[in-house]
Amino acid sequence: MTSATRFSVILILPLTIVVVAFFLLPMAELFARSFVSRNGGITYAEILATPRYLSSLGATLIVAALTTVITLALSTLVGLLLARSRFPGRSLLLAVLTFPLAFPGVVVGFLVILLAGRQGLIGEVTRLATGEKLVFAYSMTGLLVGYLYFSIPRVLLTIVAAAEKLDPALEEAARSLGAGPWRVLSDIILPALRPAMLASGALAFATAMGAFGTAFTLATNIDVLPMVIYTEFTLNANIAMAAALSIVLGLITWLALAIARQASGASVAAAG
Amino acid sequence: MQATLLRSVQVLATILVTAFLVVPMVLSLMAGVTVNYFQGILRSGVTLQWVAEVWALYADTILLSLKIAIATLAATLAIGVPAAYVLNRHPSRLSRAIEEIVTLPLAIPGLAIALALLISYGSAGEFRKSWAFILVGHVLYTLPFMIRAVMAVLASIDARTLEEGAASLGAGPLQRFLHVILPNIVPGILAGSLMVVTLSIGEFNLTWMLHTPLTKTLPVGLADSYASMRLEIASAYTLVFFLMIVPLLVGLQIFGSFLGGAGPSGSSRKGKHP
Amino acid sequence: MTSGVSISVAGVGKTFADGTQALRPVSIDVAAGEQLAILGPSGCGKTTLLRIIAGLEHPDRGGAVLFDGRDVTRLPIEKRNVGMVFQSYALFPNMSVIDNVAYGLRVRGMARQARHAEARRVLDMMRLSELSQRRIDQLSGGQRQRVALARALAMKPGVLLLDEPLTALDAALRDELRAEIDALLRSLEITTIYVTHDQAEAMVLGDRVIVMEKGGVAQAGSPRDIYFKPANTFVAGFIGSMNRIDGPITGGMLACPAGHLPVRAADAASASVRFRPESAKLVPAGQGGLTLEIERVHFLGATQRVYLRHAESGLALIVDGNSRLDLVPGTKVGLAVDPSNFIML
Repeated sequence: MTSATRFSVILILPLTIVVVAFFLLPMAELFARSFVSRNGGITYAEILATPRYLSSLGATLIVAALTTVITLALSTLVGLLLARSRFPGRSLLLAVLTFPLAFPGVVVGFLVILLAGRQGLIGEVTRLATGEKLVFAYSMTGLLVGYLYFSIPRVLLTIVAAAEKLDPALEEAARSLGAGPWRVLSDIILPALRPAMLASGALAFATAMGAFGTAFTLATNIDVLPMVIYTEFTLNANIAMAAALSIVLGLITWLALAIARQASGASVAAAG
Repeated sequence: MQATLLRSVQVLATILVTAFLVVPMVLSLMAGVTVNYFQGILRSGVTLQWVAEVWALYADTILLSLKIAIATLAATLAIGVPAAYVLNRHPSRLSRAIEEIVTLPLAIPGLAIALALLISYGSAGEFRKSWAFILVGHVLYTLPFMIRAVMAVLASIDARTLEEGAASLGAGPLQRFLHVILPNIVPGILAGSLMVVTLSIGEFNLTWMLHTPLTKTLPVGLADSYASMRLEIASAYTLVFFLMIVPLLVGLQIFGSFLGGAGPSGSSRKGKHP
Repeated sequence: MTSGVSISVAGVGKTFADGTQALRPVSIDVAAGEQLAILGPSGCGKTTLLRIIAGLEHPDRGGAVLFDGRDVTRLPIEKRNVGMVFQSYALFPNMSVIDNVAYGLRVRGMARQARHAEARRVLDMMRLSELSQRRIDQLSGGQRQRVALARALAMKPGVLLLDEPLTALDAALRDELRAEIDALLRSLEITTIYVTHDQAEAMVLGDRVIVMEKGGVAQAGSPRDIYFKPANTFVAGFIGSMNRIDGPITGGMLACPAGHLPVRAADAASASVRFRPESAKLVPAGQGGLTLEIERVHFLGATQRVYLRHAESGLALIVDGNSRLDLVPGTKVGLAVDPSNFIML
């Protein structure tokens, strides 16, 4: 071994130890413990046979998918505008829109309560307008609003960055060839943004699938998968089932990200 | 005509999205300094009594969060910076695989990782009870950000050629690392550090599972106050959290360009879970 | 700084991870104090060969690299005492010019004062003194290039290796620095290996030129030999422009559709003769051996390049000549070539 190689091995050793001891081995144990259920059956078969697990899985997928679609639509509209316009306070606005990125899920949950909870702003406004309080924080709708709150900034900033890198000559060329604004959008701009949209959309989906803090703050009876895992583990002490559901959840998020990466990477290569 | 319609929709969406993101923050900040939120800030007046009460009730969670954030930073610096250097220095299939594995904690929900740690080390008495248990979770979760920030800078300065230059002048591996590599990746280390501290202070998913009644961090305390305290105290506590996190976020805006794919605004490929 | 080392490369080859052969086993010898230029198109293996001599890569198919007869094949670059100038210069952005130049001495443990004095001496020699406190990003491309050279020379290496050192600069600066580097290296009598894809650089700077192609040595020789006596068609085509006429040779005459040319060669049913554009002379139509039509004239200042064509057969030739001669496209001219100027491959 040359001295340079020895030096490199020494430098990467701490990482290797930490990752093996505190990530790979525990994940392997989680996987190993996830098969045999408390009553001797196979956990994964029990998941398929238990309506509560399946419906929570379905609800989680639906909320995550809705979050992704709405976030992408809004962020693309707003992102294209912000990428192309210059106005005073633009960088301040972009900075403020970044802040929610660093908020933990519990804080986002609290902000949803302030917005749409029993003492929330929307409730007050609707009471003054119609005499009836509109309160939706403590439901799936509230959860969706919370997920939008932390998904929009991330997707929006990715799209702004991607749109700023677009060569304006492409759009000018399309217009010189007679394309109107909608054609330019559908034929030039959206295809060019596809990799960024896929990558950030998958990220929004995976984040919404695994988010825990928001649901935890809003209500204990929102049956999304992370809440079910938490309940199985802490209240029912059903470790095997919690492990199995975590593995299912982890596989879904990992798969979503892997597929998006494959797709966006392939399209980047095709464009280049 | 078409163009103006499209533009009007965009402007409207921008105003709505901005309001959606900003109004709740403002509500929360206001509620934290309002004497009585039911009566409103104008009628009941402004006060810092709730902030003082938060300090009395939750000072230990704030201090623990700071302690864990600093320890997480120290660990990610010690582990992540040398590792990023090696991964950049030896591009190979093995390096790619290591990078993938290190980034996995971002693709897997924190809940699952916390569960795995609890199953493996839950019976390890003293370790389980100490704040070091939370530290381990935070290090796993923040390491990829440090490694990516440093690797992005290493790639942008063409570190390999710089190192070959130093080697041609007689510098050995350690000298090259200390004299040429480290001084030139300071911006990446700085950006990575801001990211790590920000994420550590706000981490909830892992921490909620790993904490004990004696090791409550700020977000754990926040969850606690949201469930059991009056709205003004919960808001004042959130205000304290914002005050801690906003300077870090502003710093990130300034140094964020070095984060590349790892940054909050970069097209990061892997997830992170609020 | 006067005594360079001799270098001997014996049967050294390299295969890349993807299986492509970067370098077929190559052997070359460089005398102490010699200036060797390695010339070739990109991908020919010249940089790999240089990096093996430097110690940045190691041969994987046996073979050895000897410095003054000492086997250094397995030594890393930092233990070989080679000065190296990189294509991108590899100047350290965190250090000033003088700290860059003094770095090799710092690594050897020389005290700050002493190494700065030595670095200042080298900067003086290269007329860079006024830049010594500058940061690297405050330097122009040409200045960076000279600082990189000063840095490599400051540690008094036994051999100086330059990897396309002028490629990143614009043409005028390249010509200026080429002459400056040549004068400097000749005064230092240091063993130098200079890798380039630019034939003018190779010819000016190389006492000897090695032309490489597809991972192997195509020809080694003096610039004059390489130019006038190319060893094969690759070298003939890669360096300078070349005319080629095909036809049968009978009784010392080459026959082609445009006429006949006297050659010094045995009879052959089909042969090719080559000659440089400046080796031929234009004469009035009917006086030379060949008659062709002027197609285009490119005026280049000191000379002009005349494109000739034989309409019936399509034979096309180029001739460089006196730019004061006013030639009109469409006119027929004769072409004469002295038999001693033919290159037979």
